[in-house]
Amino acid sequence: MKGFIAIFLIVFTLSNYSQNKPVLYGFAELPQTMSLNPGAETNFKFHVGIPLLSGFSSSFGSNNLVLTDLFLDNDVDFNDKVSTVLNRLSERDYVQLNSQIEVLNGGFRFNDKTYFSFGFYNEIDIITYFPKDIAVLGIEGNAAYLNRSFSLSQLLFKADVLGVLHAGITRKIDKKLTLGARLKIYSSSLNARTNNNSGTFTTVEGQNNIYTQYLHNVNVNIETSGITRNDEVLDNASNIITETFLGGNLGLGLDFGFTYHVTNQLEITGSIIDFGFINYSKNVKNYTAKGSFIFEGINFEYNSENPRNYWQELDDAFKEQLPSEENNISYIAWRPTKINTSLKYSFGEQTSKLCYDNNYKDYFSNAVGVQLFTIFRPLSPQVALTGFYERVFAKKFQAKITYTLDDYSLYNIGAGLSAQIGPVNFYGTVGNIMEYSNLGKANSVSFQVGINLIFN
Amino acid sequence: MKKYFLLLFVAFFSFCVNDVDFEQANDFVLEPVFTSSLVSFTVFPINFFDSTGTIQQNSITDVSQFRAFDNSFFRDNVIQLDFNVEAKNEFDRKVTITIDLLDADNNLTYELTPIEVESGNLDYSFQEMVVISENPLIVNTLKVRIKAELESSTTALDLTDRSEFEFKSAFTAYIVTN
Repeated sequence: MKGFIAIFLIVFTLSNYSQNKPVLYGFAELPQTMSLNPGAETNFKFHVGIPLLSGFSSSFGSNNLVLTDLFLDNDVDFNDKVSTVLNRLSERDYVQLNSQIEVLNGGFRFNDKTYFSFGFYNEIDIITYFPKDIAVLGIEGNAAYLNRSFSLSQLLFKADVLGVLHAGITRKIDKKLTLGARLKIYSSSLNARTNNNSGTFTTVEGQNNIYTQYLHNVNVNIETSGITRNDEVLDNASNIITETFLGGNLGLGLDFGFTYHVTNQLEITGSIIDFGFINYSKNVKNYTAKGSFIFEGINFEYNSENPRNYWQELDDAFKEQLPSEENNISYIAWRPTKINTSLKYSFGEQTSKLCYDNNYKDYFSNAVGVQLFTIFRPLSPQVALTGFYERVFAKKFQAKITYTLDDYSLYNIGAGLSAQIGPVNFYGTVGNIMEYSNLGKANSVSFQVGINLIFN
Repeated sequence: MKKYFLLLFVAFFSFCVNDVDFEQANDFVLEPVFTSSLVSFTVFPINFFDSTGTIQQNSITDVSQFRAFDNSFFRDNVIQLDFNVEAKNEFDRKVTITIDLLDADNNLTYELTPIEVESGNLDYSFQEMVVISENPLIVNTLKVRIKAELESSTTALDLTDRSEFEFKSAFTAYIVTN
């Protein structure tokens, strides 16, 4: 119990992160931009990502908490810090961890207007909201909280480990418009989720005994897949990885996107990513509890003629009025869909670059714009607004600086570089760069790095 | 998977985190205090007579299982139990309540101080604190037995009297995990 809470607090402090990749989005016509917008414009004949090195992204952060709130090396008692944090966090604060690693990524130009891309990546996606009432009950107990209703509806989490096999097409419709779509086959090896729970636990001064405790309208449902195998809790983590290669629970998803040039200098883009679902039918183990129960202690009757087994009766009544059960019913879970949009204005020195189709495309040395990112999460959508500036220093050397407003921070500055030497392209982006010197005080930090071979 | 997380963790936090001491987590002490009702009863003079209604008994006893200590977390970490009692005695004589905690073989694991509720005391309260380290046998408790005993008197109870003796109890458990 204590270990669980300590780990929860550490994880909650460390890994609050958004899947937003504001620096990478639309940056330098990188192949990875097509994963954020399949309608992104690119200007190469084919590309190959270096296996396992072409794309790696992960981020950490916190909206209402920084690492040093709990772990700053000072004279404040750790338990006091926990208490302070507990009071500060609300049930709307959440832990979010998303990490992706590209195993395979490639693409080729089919004709002047069509580019095919494909690949496979592994993803870990976890979100859990802070169940404040349950945490307070576990850490402090109920004695000091008579009449307070501890809500079970705050129990809200989702975790997924999956592989994604994908193939996309990017089609230039005309000089102004490029459309793209990507089909995804999900293979999830591990999933756990609970949502739409209800119920309260309340202790009040009683009439028939000193206290009366109410478990009222409890309806808790936890669905899992892959955590238990043949009624044994998974203890071999290698299965989790291997089953992401189409051996797990399968699902389908689609990405859509576009790029539209309003003028030669003004461009808008948009995309919908991970519009899809996974059907969980393998190694499913679900847990439910539903009902209400009132506890006033044991009422002795002093009937020697008919002695009663009070405890057994209590146990039976609890199981009858608030039954819990396990089942293996398959379930469908929707992927967390993301929406990206951007508006970009290019200016400055104008150059023309020879394109794959032997035409010339105008480029400007500078660009500014805004991006809006939305991800649909169980409690509410999370939104991030980003302003950015891009600079082309040389033909194959570009940089981007972003300023993002989101749940975590109002001053998140990110930066990215993309450089190409021959066919070898290196890119790297970092979010919340100002805090990178001491992550302990950072609200959020993110990075993406990768190496591609790009052939023009 | 563990290695994957560890790699992420080390990559981020080994190089860029200053003035942070993760060892503090070892100092975390969980100290929840839980409270709950225990046993209640209301008895009338008729409860002190046998089934024929002719022979008065001076005491009555009832027992129930009490399996809180089956929970290993509770058993291993509870450091103190407070027992609270509230009683109302409308009888014409004193009633003494004896609360015994018993193990599976009915051996006494703890005996609370006998509770004497004088006749006419309608607002009696009592509390007893039990420090577990001083009473280690108490964690073997599996039953609670409560005896209600009437004060000796030359007059018999009136079988039809609706005076009542009301008893309520609760316990508060102090948990500490180091």
